[in-house]
Amino acid sequence: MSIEELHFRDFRNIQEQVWNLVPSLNVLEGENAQGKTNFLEAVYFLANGRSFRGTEYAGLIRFGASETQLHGRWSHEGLESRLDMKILPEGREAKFQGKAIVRLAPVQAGLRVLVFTPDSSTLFRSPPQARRKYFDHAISVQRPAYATALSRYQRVLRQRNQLLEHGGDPTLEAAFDLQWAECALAVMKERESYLEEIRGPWRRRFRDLLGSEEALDFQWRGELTAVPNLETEALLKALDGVRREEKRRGRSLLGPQRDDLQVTFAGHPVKEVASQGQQRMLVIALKLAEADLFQAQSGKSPVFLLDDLGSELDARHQGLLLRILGALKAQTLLTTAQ
Amino acid sequence: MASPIDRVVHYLSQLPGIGEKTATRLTFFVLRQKPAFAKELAAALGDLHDKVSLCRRCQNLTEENPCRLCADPRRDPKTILVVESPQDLLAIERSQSYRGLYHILHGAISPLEGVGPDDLKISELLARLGSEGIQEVILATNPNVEGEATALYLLKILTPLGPRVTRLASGVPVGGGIEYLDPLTLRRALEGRQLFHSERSANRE
Repeated sequence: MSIEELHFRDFRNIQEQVWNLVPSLNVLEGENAQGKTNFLEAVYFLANGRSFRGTEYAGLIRFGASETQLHGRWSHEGLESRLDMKILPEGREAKFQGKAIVRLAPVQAGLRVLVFTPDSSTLFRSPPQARRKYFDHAISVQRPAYATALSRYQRVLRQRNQLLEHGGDPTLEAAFDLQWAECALAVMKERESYLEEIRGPWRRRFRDLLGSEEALDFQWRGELTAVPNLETEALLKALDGVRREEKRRGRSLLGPQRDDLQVTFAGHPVKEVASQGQQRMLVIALKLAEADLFQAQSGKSPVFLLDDLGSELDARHQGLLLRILGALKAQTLLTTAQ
Repeated sequence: MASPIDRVVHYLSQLPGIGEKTATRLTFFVLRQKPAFAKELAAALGDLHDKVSLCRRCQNLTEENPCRLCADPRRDPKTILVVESPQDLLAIERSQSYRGLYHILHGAISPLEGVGPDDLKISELLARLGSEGIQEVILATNPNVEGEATALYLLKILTPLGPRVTRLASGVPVGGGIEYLDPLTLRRALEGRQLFHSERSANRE
């Protein structure tokens, strides 16, 4: 799978640009502050419907323009796909193969775009919220059903919080508690099963990059993750324990919205024992493992966006990473300062 | 006083799904028709509140009271199917798969929108259970967060009153694909799995 043509209009500082790409390595050279990262951001937006910098829609539209247009054409084994996206301040509109779509799941089933920027390295040093956001997205693109379960859980949570804040009759509270437990369970089980799936590839890719066999492990951590045989009854029982405090604070105090993915080296949290270089490799290994899952599921290779790789990796590791991507047959878009 | 065109546009653009542009187009369309069209439309709109009211039994919109469904002697008066809206009732009627009575809640519980049990036609439902000798209540609220909360709430307050309380099954849609189902739906579909029809009838014999 590779992107053949990109056409961007009014994205950030890009007025209009057309790109024809080769299926292997594409290098974008230039001074800093020329918009190289903006180009990668636009490619990422096409496949993910959002910015990897967390920018709102309005911030992506070129100053003075009323909307952004992004067009992409890619092909797999001779079959062409085409995506036309519009970004408006209040939302985005997408047409896949000429037909309007709301969710990008059909696009993501064939076009997976993974990004590594200097900011990515901080993933395991950032607050838990950043990791939750990262994995919620990564799991959603790999398993569209997770996105459904998560949005339902978030809806239940908002309703339940409203009820806790303003108080309601106990029968009504019980109705929302039960739904909370069912939906929380669905989210937690799906996260756990994704972690099971990516654990092996993630360790393998880390070894490929560092050559060392650290006792690397990953776990979801939170108030409820240690509960054995987690089922709705156990969740409801845990809820009983915090009910008084929840009423006092007027919001939900338990659930996967508070969980964190913890990475350990030989049992110690990675942010305490791993060097910055190791943490960087951990993130790159994660992206490669995501690529492995996508390839195993779809038989297609993903597209990698590597921003300013020279500032992050020494020459030896840059070479190693590019060789791995070559072996994956992953199309790569790389920016570099001159 | 605003001009007649502005007034019509003003009111039409308050309808759901209709913006000012569409409202203007509709207004000019009416203007291009014969005058009788506007008069008939106005008369029909005027009749809405004069002639349509809520059925005192099932709370459906009706011109007669009780409504035609409640008054139909061929329908099973011991079963009530509870829905959120008159549109839901119409959908079930179209399926021709139900022959009991209905009860319309006119909404679902949603704390975020400030809709609680007292804002729905729940006390009317409780009154019917007391007076009509109902044996089964089927909860057919929508399978979203709000509909589900409403069903769970009704389950808890209706069960002590005696009737059998059932919930519409949820699961794999007819003509749907399993790979696209979310985990919660699949889980429910599995929990609610059933014997094949032929086996069920064989077991009964």
